[in-house]
Amino acid sequence: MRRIPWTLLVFAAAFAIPWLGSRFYTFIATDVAILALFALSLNLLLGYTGLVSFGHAAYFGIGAYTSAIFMKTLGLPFWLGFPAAGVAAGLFALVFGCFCVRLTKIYFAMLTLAFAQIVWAICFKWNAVTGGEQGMPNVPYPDLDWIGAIPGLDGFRVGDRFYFLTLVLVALAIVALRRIVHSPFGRVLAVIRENPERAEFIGIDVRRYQLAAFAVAGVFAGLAGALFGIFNRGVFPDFAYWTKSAEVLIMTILGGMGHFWGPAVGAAALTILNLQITAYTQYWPLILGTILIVLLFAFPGGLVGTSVDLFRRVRRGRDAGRP
Amino acid sequence: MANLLEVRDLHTAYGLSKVLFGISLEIAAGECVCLLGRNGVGKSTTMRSIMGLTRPTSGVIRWKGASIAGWAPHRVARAGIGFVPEDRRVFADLTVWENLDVARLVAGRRGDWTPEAVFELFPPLQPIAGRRAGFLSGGEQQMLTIGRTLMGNPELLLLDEPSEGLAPLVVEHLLQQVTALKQRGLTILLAEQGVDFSLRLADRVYVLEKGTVRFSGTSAELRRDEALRNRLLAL
Repeated sequence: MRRIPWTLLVFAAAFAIPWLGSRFYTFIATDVAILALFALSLNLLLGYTGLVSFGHAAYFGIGAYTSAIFMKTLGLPFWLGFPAAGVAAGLFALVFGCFCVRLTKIYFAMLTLAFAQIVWAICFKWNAVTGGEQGMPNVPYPDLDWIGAIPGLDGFRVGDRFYFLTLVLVALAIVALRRIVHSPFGRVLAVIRENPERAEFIGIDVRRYQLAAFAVAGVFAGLAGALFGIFNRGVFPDFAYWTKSAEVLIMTILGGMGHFWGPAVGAAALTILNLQITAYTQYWPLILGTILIVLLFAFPGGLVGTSVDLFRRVRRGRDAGRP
Repeated sequence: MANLLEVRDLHTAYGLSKVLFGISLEIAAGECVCLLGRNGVGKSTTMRSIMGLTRPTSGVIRWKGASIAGWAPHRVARAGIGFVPEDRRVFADLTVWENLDVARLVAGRRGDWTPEAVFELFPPLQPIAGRRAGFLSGGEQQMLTIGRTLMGNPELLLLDEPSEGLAPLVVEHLLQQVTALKQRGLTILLAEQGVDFSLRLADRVYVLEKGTVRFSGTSAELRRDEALRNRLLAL
């Protein structure tokens, strides 16, 4: 049996969503695509390097503010604002990371949280640049007329066009992330996750690799933040708040951090669950808490990890039955 | 002959509990030297101190004449000291081949060792190159750990209790393989509890007790002196 190209199928299906003609579906799909990238960037630290960052929203926020400042305050095009968001988030991650990787485990997590809170406080109070508490509403859409000029894509609303752009950029970013985790660099990260001490005495400068992973994860979080600011029609301090860091952590664990696609599935599941459940009840945190408890006890590998295990077991059972 | 490694008056403690009380030893290039002693006399701590994994409180560690005390472990590794720890845990999620490859990748030292050369030394690893290292037997893991360390092209190999917990037949194989390494000219510092294994391999022996060196001499001397053996090494 040939392998089914799942990733291409999913991409094609996602690309077809605007043809359903529902503004709402496009809205959800854009949200999921951006948060999937955000969660995947966190998993470079969590699942691949074994670093628990509790302040990943800081880089999401820095990315969002950078692109908003570029596009709204300075009036520069998206094609400058978007990469700038990645660069700025990466640079901040590099500087903060220098301090964070000096500590391990819970102390590392606390320090990432501390830096994220500082970023949040600056966004919240620096009225002249970030708009303070009011944030930066009305970040302009990038110029999307050229998408309408592509044959087959004409006649779509601006939200749909932005979705096409988002989907392609997110897909490219995910391809890049996947290349990184499967590169020799990614293998070194896996070794550090398994045992930092052993990694050290076979000659790996553990801190330097951890710092590199931290900066790379920051870049991708920043890119996700830039897209989210435009999608959200505004950038606000709560992008960098600790609840945002917790949310992306939950997505990653819900989907399964042991699998490349886990965090993306977690982002989709959490977003859709949130929408469904808040339609019925205002007690979303209660439901979320319950889901998390069940998940941690019954499906420690997350949605993807558990499904993959189940699939393997079924297949092995079938193979065993053969003569 | 110039010493490759020289340790002078090494003191090491874990927090308040002192473990090493002035260990001194030296190893010349091409030698195989054994640290002998019962459980808990400081053999592993000596190795961890040399490797930089546990920082010594005082003392001198010289590698080819340069002081390396206080260096980070990855620098020590890159300087040419390879460490095979006693609990020999491999990178369990990686395959056998990946374990070797990642070590070559980060080695930062040029040399002859390739995965193929490791398979030649340890033929049982060859057919299971694609298997996850976590599923290997104890003996296979020991071979892989040594192989992984060799990929860094070390000049000195620190082997911490390689025979511990292995079946007699496996130990016999291991002995031959380490002997082969020795014949290739690799300098080896071995830590062992068992007299048999070490005396068949080592040129010289340091017997440790309570964090100090109680005897140093050739393997032949120790083999002749049964009283000393019984006093320091009998379980």
